Parts: sequence; structure tokens; C-alpha cells
Amino acid sequence: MPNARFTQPEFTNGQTVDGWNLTQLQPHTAIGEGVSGLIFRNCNLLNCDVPADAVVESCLHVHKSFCSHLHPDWVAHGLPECVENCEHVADTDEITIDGETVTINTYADEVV
Amino acid sequence: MAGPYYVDPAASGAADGSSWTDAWTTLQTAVDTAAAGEIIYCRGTQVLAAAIDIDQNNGTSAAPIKVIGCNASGDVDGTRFTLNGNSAAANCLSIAASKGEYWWFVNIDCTSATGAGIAFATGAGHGRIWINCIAQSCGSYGWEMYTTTSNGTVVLVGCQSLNNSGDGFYSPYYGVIYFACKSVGNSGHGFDGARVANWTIALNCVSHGNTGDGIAGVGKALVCNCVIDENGSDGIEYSGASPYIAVALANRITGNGTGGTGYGINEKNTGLVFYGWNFFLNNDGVTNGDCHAIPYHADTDTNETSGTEGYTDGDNDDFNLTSAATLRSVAIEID
Repeated sequence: MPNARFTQPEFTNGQTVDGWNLTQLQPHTAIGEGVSGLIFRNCNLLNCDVPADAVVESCLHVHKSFCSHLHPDWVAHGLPECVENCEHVADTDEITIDGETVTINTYADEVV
Repeated sequence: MAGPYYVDPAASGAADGSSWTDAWTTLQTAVDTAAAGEIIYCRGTQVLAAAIDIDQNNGTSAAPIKVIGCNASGDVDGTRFTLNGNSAAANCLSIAASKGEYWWFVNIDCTSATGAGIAFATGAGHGRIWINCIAQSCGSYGWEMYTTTSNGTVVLVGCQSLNNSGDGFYSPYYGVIYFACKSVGNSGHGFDGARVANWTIALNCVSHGNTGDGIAGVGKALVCNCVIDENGSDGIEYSGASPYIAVALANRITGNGTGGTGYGINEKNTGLVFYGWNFFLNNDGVTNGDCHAIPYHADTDTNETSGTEGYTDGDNDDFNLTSAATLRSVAIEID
């Protein structure tokens, strides 16, 4: 059960890819470019664009914008670092301590 | 008490839940109906547009509500009922705060949700028992468990979390008991535990090939007879609020960390870690790759840091040990 998340996996023409985690860090990352006849079965294809002739069976196949505030460990793998008020802010609270107001952001990954 | 109830998405009868012929076609109707002590049998695959929400009913400690997957003939033989998120549902199974108390889930497969496969809202979480369930290929955690009740009331037996885009098992508040569970190929940690409150207990578990730590973020933790292999960072990372006590016995902690980024056992905060009879090999963090910053070294002579892993076929998750395996068995004297 190979785990090829965050990397560009190498496939061969006609390969059946069964039960792999192919999660990519950024939406619409192409995988398997130039390879034909791929069959993806029971895979995690989050953020993957597969070749046009590939067959996708029983896979997660959506695109999600990941927030580095939620996934700081993934910056080392190539996830771009978000700014404080990034697009992933889902909620904002302001609290006042000793007369000073502090803004606390709650972040969420976003299906795109 | 009524029931049992039946769910079969392919059924075409009266849809009153009274038999396989007249089964409900959605689990949602069943979980909204079942009361304490009742059983829901389900078979086949339900394709979801939204999560199955358990937000109505509770069982009791003496009379839990049980959801049990069956094979095509309606027999209970370990065949799982599949909840397919179909890249559309945010979760496959969602449990509301202070609901879903004293529920058992047996033989359930949660796959392809855009978020977590199984998600507990922040709340109590008494008596949630999971047996032979799977969360796989989901877009966040496999299992996201914000239980806020005391230790030992969420128990997973023979469950798996595979190829999810976050942690395999995530329980940040209170500890969970894992027995014979497997977390493989997830994009986060294999098991991510409670840093503050109660014990995380992992017995006879496998954490393999996850991007982060094999077992992460635990404070009080008992990790015993587990295989923790080829995870991207530490084998076990203790980072609970100090001080804490942790125990690691008779584990095989191998091949974790790459490029000096992981330790066999990494203690990040001040605690008291008892560990013995573990087999460490090829962890990358220090010279011999075994442990880091553990102040209490009693019985370290019982650990092995060289020899042969001896897995039958680790690449394909067969961690049965061959006769060549170092520290294949241990005899621990109890005086």
C-alpha cells in the first residue's frame, strides 16, 4: 500500500494503482503526465489532476486549499506559508486583555 | 424495545426497516429511529451526499445501540457496510455533542469523504465502541475524536485508518484505547493523541508509512507491543504537558524519520518515560537512532538497538516476525 503523498509518483502505461495515498499539497497538481491507460482504484486523489484517459474508481477526487496554519509540518514538504489573515480564515474573535485587543483567527481548509 | 432494524441501499420493498426485504435504504433513518438496546443491521454500500448524522439518540451503558455491517446474505461475518462519501460528503459519519453516547459500530467502512471519515463533535462521548471499522481515502483525518469524557470510554478494536489526507487517528482532548488497530499511509501522524488529560493506550497496533510521527503528541501514554515503522518523523513523540508519565514496552520502532528528522522515541517535554524490551533500528534522529532526551533510563539494557527487523513483508503491511527477527519474543519477569 504505497504512500506517495506530496511527491510525484512514477507510473507505467496501463498500471492499476490500487489503494495509494496520492494527496498533493496544492489543488490541480498533475500526476502521471505522459502515462496512458492508468486505472486508479480506492485511492486518495486529493488535489490530483490525472491524465485524461485515466479511469478513476472509488477514489476521493476533490481539490482542497490547505492552510499552513493548520498544517505547519507540511511547509517543509512544500506547502506555501500563509499570511496571518489568509484566505482560510473561517472565524475571527476579538478579546481584550488589560485594555489591549487581540484578534484570534480560526482557520479551515477549503474545498475548491 | 423494537427492532432489530435493517438497512440495505439496494432494497426495493416497503422501506420500513423491518426486514432485509423491506429494509430502509439509508442509515440515517435507522440511526434517527433506534433507541437504547436496539440493533441496526446494514449491508451493501450507501453513497452519500452528506454525512450520516447521529444527533438524536443515546444508548445506555447496559443497553447500547449497535450498528452492525453484514454480508450480502445478511450474516455477520466481518464484511463491512460501506458509507461512500463519493467526494461530496464532508464526513461519512458524524456524531453530535452529547449524542451518540453508548453506541457500538461494528464492520463499517467510511471512505472518500472530503473531510474526516468519522467525526465526533466536541462533547462527551461515553461508551463509543468501534470494532473492525475502517476510515480510508478521506480528505482530512480518518478518525477525528473530540471526546471530552474520561479515559477509557472510546475504544477501537481491530480498526484501520488508511490513506487519509490528515492524521489516521486524532483524539486531542482525552485518551482513546486502541487495540489491534492499524494506521497506514496517512498524510499526518498515525495516531495523534491527547496531550493533556487522560491516557492514550495503544496495544498490538501498527503505525506504518505515515507522513508525520507514528504515535504523536501524547502525554500519558501506554504503548505496548506495537510496530511503528517507516513513518516520516518520530516513532513515538511525547509532548504532553509536563509532568507526565508514559510507558513504552516491547515495541518495534524501526525506520522512522528521514534525513535526521525523527527519533525512535522523542520526549519533547519533561516527563517520566519508562521503556524497555523495545527494538529500535534505523531511526534517523541520533547516532543509533533510538531515543532522545529521556531522563529516566531504567531497564534500557533490555532494549535492543541492533539486529534484524525480521518483518515478513513490511512494505505490504505484513509485520509478522520471521525467525530471524531480533528480540522476537521477550520474557518479562514480574516479581
